[in-house]
Amino acid sequence: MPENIIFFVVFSSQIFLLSFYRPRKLFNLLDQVFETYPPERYPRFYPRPMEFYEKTLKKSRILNICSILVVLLIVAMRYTYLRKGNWDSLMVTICFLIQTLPLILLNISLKKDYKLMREQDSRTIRKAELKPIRLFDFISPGLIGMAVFVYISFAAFAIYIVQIDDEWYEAFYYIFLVSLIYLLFAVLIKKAVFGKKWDPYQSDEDRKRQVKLIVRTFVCASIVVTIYLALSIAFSFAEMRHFMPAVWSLYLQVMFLIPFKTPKIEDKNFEVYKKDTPAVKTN
Amino acid sequence: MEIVINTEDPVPIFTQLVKQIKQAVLSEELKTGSALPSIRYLASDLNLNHKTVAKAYRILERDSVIVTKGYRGTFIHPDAKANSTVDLNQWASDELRNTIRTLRESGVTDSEIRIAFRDEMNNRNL
Repeated sequence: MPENIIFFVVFSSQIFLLSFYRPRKLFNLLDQVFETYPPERYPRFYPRPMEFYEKTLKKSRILNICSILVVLLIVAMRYTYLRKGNWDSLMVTICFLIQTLPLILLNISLKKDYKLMREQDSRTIRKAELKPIRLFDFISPGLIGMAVFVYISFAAFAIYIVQIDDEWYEAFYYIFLVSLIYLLFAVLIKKAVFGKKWDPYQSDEDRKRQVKLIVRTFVCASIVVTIYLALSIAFSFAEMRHFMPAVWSLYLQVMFLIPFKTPKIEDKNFEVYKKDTPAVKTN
Repeated sequence: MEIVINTEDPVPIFTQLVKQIKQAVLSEELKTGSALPSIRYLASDLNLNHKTVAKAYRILERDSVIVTKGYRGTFIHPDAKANSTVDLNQWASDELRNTIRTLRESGVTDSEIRIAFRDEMNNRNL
C-alpha cells in the first residue's frame, strides 16, 4: 500500500527530528552555554543555583529517552501485538505530544527564570530608547502579504468546493477555523512586538532578533496551518483520507521545527549578564 | 533619544520621564510629529509599572506636548516646543504662593488658610 510506505517514511522522519535531532541540538546548545558562560562570570544569567540547571538538563535528557521508548513501544504495539498497520491522525498526535513533552517542560522551567531575573534586577539606573516600533521592523511586508494571499486563496478554494458539492458546507467551518487561527496569531504577534520584555537585561539587538523570530514563526505557522487545512479538504473531497495521517505528521513536524531555529550563542550579547555591567540601553 | 531613569532619585519617576521628554522636545531631539513608543512597551523596557509611564504620558498630553491618536499611537504635538516651556506645576506653586501671601497680609491665619484650602479642594462642585 503506497500510503503505508509514505506514512512510514514521514513518521520515521517525525521520530528522528522530534526525538533525536532537535533535542540533541538544544541540549548541546545548553551545554555549550553553561560551559562558555559560567555563573561565576555571568551571574545575572543564572537566577538560580547552577545545580538546578544541571539537574533540569539531566532530567530533560532522561525524559527524552523515556519519550522515545514510549513512542517506539506504541509503534511496536501497533504493528506487532495489535496486528494493525493502519495509523490514524490521533495516534500521530499522541506520539507528537509524547515526543515534545520533554522540551516543553524544559522551556517552562527555564521561562520561570525571567521572572526571577526581574525580581533580582537591582539596577537603579535604567535606560531605554524613546523610539516607536513598528510591525514591519520585524517582518517583511512580503511575508505578511503572502499570509493574506494564502488566506484569501484558501477561502476561495473552500467556497469553490461548496459550489461543486452542496454537502461540503463544512468548508465554511474551515474558513471560520482559519480566521480564528489568524486572529489568535495576530494577538500573539501583537503581544510579542508591543508586550512585556521577559529578560530585563536583554540587549536591543537580542530583543529584536527574538521578536523577529517569534513574528516570523507565527506568520509562517499561519500559512502552514492554512495549507494543511486546504490539503485536508482536498484529500477528503478526493476520497484520499488514508493519506491524512502522513500529511498530519508532516504538518506537525513543520509546525514544531518552524519556531525552533537554533540561535547561535555567539550572536547573543552575554556581556549584559556580567555582575559589574552598568545599566545598559535595553532598547 | 535615550531616556534614563534613576529609581533612587527623590524626584518621582513619572516626573523624570516628563522632564526628559520635554527637554528632548526643546533640544529638538524629538521633533513635531515624531512617534513615541507605546506605554506598555516603554514601561517594559524600563522595567517600570505601566501606570507610571501612563501617568507621565497623561501629564504630557495635558500639557499638549504629546497627542494620542487612538490605535495609531502617540506623537509629539505640533506646538510641543512652545508648550514644553510651560511648567504647570511651577505655575500652580506660584499662584498658590501669591494667594497665601495676599491672605496672610489680610490677617488670615495659617490654620484658617489650611482649612479653607482643604474645604475648597474637597468641594466637588469646583
